[in-house]
Amino acid sequence: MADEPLPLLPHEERLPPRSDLWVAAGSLTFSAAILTLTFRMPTYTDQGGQIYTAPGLVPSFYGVVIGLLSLWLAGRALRAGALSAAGKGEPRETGNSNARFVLAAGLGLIFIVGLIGRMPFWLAATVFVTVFVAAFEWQPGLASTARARRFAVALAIGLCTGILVTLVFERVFLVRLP
Amino acid sequence: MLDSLGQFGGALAHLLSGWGVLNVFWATLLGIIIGALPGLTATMGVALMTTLTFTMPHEQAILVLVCIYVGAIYGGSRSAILLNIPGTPASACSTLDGFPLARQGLAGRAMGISTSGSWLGTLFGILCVAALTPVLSEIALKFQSFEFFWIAVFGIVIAGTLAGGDPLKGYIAGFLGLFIATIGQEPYYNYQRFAFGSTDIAGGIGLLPALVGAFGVAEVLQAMRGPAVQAVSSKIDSVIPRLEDVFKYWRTILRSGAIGTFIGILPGLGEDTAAWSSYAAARRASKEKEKYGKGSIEGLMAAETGESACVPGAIIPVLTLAVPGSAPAAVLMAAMLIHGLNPGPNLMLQTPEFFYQIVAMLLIADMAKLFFGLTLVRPLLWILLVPRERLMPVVFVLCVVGAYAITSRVFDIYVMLFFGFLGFILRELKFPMAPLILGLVLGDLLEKNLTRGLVLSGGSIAPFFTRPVSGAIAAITIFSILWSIPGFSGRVAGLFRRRPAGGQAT
Amino acid sequence: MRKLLTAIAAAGLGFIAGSALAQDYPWKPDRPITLIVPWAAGGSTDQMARIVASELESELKQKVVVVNQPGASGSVGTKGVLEGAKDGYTWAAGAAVDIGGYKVLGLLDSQLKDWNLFFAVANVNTVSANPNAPFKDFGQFLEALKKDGKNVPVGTAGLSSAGHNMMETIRKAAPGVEYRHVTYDGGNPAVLSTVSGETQASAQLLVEMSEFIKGKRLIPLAVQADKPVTLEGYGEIPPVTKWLPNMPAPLNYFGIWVPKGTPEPVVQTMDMIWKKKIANSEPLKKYAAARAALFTPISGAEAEKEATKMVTQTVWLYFDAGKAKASPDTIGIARPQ
Repeated sequence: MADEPLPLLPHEERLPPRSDLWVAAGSLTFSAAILTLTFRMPTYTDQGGQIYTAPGLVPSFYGVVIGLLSLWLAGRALRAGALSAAGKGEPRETGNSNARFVLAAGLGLIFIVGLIGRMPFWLAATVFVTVFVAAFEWQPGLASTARARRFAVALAIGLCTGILVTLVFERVFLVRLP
Repeated sequence: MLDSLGQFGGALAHLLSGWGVLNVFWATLLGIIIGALPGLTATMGVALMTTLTFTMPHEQAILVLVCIYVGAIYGGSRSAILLNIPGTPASACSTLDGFPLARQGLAGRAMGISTSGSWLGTLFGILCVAALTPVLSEIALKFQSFEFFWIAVFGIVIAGTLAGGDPLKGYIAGFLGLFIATIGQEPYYNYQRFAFGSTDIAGGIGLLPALVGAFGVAEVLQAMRGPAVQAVSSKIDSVIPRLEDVFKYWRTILRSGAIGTFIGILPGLGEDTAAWSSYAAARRASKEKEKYGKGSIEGLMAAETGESACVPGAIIPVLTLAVPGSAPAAVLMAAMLIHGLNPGPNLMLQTPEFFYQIVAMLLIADMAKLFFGLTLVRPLLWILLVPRERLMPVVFVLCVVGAYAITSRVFDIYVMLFFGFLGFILRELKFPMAPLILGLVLGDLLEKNLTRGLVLSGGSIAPFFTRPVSGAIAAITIFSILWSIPGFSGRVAGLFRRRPAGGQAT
Repeated sequence: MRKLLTAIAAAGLGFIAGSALAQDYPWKPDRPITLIVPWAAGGSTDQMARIVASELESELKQKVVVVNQPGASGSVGTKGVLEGAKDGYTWAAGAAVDIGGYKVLGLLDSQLKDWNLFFAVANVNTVSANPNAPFKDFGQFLEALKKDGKNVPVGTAGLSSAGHNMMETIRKAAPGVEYRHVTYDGGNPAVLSTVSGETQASAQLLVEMSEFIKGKRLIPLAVQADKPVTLEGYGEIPPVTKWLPNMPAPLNYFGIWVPKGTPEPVVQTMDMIWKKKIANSEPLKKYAAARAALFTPISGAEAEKEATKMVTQTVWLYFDAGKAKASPDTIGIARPQ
């Protein structure tokens, strides 16, 4: 369209071929799982049903298409040299931190599975937000007064969130919270 | 015509009576804030607010959601201009010329361009909604199961091909979405597919919990993982738009408005595609190509007008076909369904007043956006300084409440969490999200109309191709699939090109 | 927004006034009550539930929040109520025939006698045709179904819907009848398919058709009842028994319910409200009259007895069609005579 290609968005950058090969393997397995399950579904032809109304028909079609597209993706990755040394791709500096990701995901998981339903919602939300803020703002080597101040801020944000969210939803919007 | 104007006036008065005005103000402002904050998108804002406004009367709830949608798309350009970070994916294009302008000390002027472009773009889109919806509804009324089947397929294909990124992965994501939509009780024999004996799964995957997960939770995780954003505060000149900017580039504004609205109407293509397309078109037609990317006023205007015109555009297919034009529109449609409004061809027959209300809502939201754009830009900037460590856990709590509030089932929270991780992983693996969402939304439509069409025809697939409208949509769809196959487009283009393809690309 | 205001006001009042109730009911709810509608908003169950909710609100002086939990033929929402705390703060709404059929269909381990029932209205099933269809009355419709039924598309809201139920009952009462069963997402889309001509006829509740019948977009062929039903603004619709004298015509009751095991004061209170308030409810009477539904404010044992008629007939219909997971015999529903 344009005279020179426009800059790519982050989601438009491509993975190295080696990674694409793994993605293809994963989605191929997934399609096989769909097909295994759909072939076990009843067809209801014994009740006078037609084959085109069988419950497994449409999902198995999706399974087949996902499988074919995965094969295509695998083929493309192989042609791009997925198995060669260069296919592995260069590790790029993105500034991403997997430790932060694991921390965030783990805290979220604990909040949903471990806290909600075991205590009033406002308390669960307060604990979660406080711990989240405190954990991410933790810096080694901080004076204890500074640390206490940071924790106080975290606790304040946590309490505000827990109480405000609960008040707004339960009193104003009459939604029961978990 | 007079009657329509009367109905429109009535809708306007109805919406703004009582607390309506207040709702418009806080919702638009919240939308702009959501849009401006990197990591919070329009889709997520509309999804979260759907649950917050759940117990309001339906016109007010939808009004709030429309304001959030319109506000968020506009708000995204704040951070694009000031931080070089798009607040929503829709504003990615605005960084190209917006940030260079800000660096030249023209941040205020850039925001003024953004305000005027965005306002005019949405206004253009609203006129299209008012003019096109009744006509398209009339056509869509003749659609039967066969046609709706192809509309659904067309949506998936278009989203896979054009939504940006790798088309192959776009298709995989689209079919994954379609597959997820088949989980639960199927329509014909009430057989529980992929439920493994669980009544919860048999009820199907709730669209809103899945969307809140795929957008809200996944974005929280991504924001926490990514590098910290450095807030740049620069001195800001006057943010009042200059009339000369508008008059000088009226051609660009009209062109971008038309492109944006059209992209909006196409199912699954969102504001980001609209912005990129109108930007590219403006550059091609421009007399000052060399300025693009270095702070072109015309370029920023094109991007802003395009993305904002897309918002009303994306609502047109919701009202006429019950097919969303973009991801936020998909959530808006889900909200309409939850409130018992049935978007689709029968809307104009059964509840024509709702159509006028939607037009009125868009207009109100657009005006509120202009108001905030002119007055509140400066005080709003502090919001960009809130560190993500403090913002994201609060957003996460809101996601949990949002997923739970609609049906009060804990199962929905697990659905949200699952889709949060799934969305995060798929994004890391460079799968585009728009086709996944569209698959999820259209899966039901596709399967039910396919089965119903086959039942109606007694098992023959012929009517899917021989009915005139059905055949036409089928042809366009198949052509779009072929077009996305590498090599095919070049070969077809070659047929139409006499001279050998040289340095000049089309 | 007005609703929101009342909500804020109600919450405020709740704080100040405490439990200053106008009536001496044995049960005084101290927080909002949830009424779960296991179907989408806007449908026939939802409309009924919202009217009942507002009537209860004024009587209990407590907010009644309607929550839509659609999915799996209403079994998802009903399951939530069944498994929740049995404290009277969570109710389910729906059609009696649905909760009566879940166990036989294998959707949910629950049946009619597990619930305290409070009915508001009863709806009649109706067959209607597109004005351009080749049949003008129910007799001609039967002829067409006998001659070439496999090519007559009839729309319903799906396998467990009232409309499919009626068509299957017709098939049983009139040997040789066949039809092409086309399913839609709900009563409203099924009826619309006949209006648009995609199907020639549809079988659904009369409430869902009444507006189109009045607008002459649909011709009502017959109602599943033993006497004619009068629709305001249209006239009399003949009963199906005019052509098929042996066809059973049980009523399809709609109402709200809580599981048995809910504290006695709750059930007593609701019984009192039903006799005093609901039995004289103007909004419900108006709703019933406008939509040609029957106003049937019954509760307790009477409700269970009346609803059992339709449930018995329906579950055996499922069983005979091979669609049941368990024989109705095994859960104490004997084959009707």
